[in-house]
Amino acid sequence: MDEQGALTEAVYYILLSLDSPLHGYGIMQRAKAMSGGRVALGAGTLYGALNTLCARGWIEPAASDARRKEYQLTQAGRAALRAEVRRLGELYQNGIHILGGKDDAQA
Amino acid sequence: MRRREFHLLADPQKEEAFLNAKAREGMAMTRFFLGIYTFEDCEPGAWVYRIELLGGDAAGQADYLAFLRESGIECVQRWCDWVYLRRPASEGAFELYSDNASRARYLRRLARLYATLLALTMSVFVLNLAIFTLSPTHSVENLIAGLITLPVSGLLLRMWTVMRARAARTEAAQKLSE
Repeated sequence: MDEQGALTEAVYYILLSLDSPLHGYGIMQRAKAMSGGRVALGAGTLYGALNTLCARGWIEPAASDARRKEYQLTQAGRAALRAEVRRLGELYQNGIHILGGKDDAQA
Repeated sequence: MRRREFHLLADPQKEEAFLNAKAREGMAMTRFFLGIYTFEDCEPGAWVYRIELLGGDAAGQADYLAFLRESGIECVQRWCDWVYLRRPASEGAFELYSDNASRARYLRRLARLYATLLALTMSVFVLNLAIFTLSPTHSVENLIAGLITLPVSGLLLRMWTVMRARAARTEAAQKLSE
């Protein structure tokens, strides 16, 4: 297993979106919906990330007769995503532990 | 109604701002040729325009343009590696690069283009000056041709500097958020 640093927000949401096969536009829409409208993936950013993730073996083109090119997670991609969720969980728990559950900005 | 306007805009960022201001006024750019922009009437603010320099080989570029099309982005005009893109404003904010890392990579690509063109115009300048100086006839044509490249080189140098500065700013912002 290769060394894995923190995933960028774009990569994290792309991988999450590809839990089931999806085309580029669908990934943009799903990432936006999951983040409550906050994460709007640019087409250039998404295209570059999809190529990088394919080269890394974390996603692959889905075998389908769809008119639009679809992608899906590979086993390695799913493992990377799980590792990231664990890491984020640790970050989150430490944050809550030290700051408490209150949100200062809204208090 | 169709209208034409002549503008020389070297900075793609300012050109984008110009096209978006026109679209807000109800004029949608549909064509570009040698500084002449063709506009057609549209609902004011109906479109958001972006200009991009394509990278990679021809197959990669075709693949990318197909990807853009599938994402609801229309390629209005293409000149070599430059494309004029637009998307209905109703689809929300339209940015091609949504994080600093990818935006910085794109700006570096732009900077490389201006550096390459600058090297080219400077070579033409040096070559013409050398021919003028060394040839027994001292042909004035070579002197003129050489001198004509100077303002072009100046513009390219400025654009190279601007793009490197933008890329450096974006990279600095990226380091903070890593």
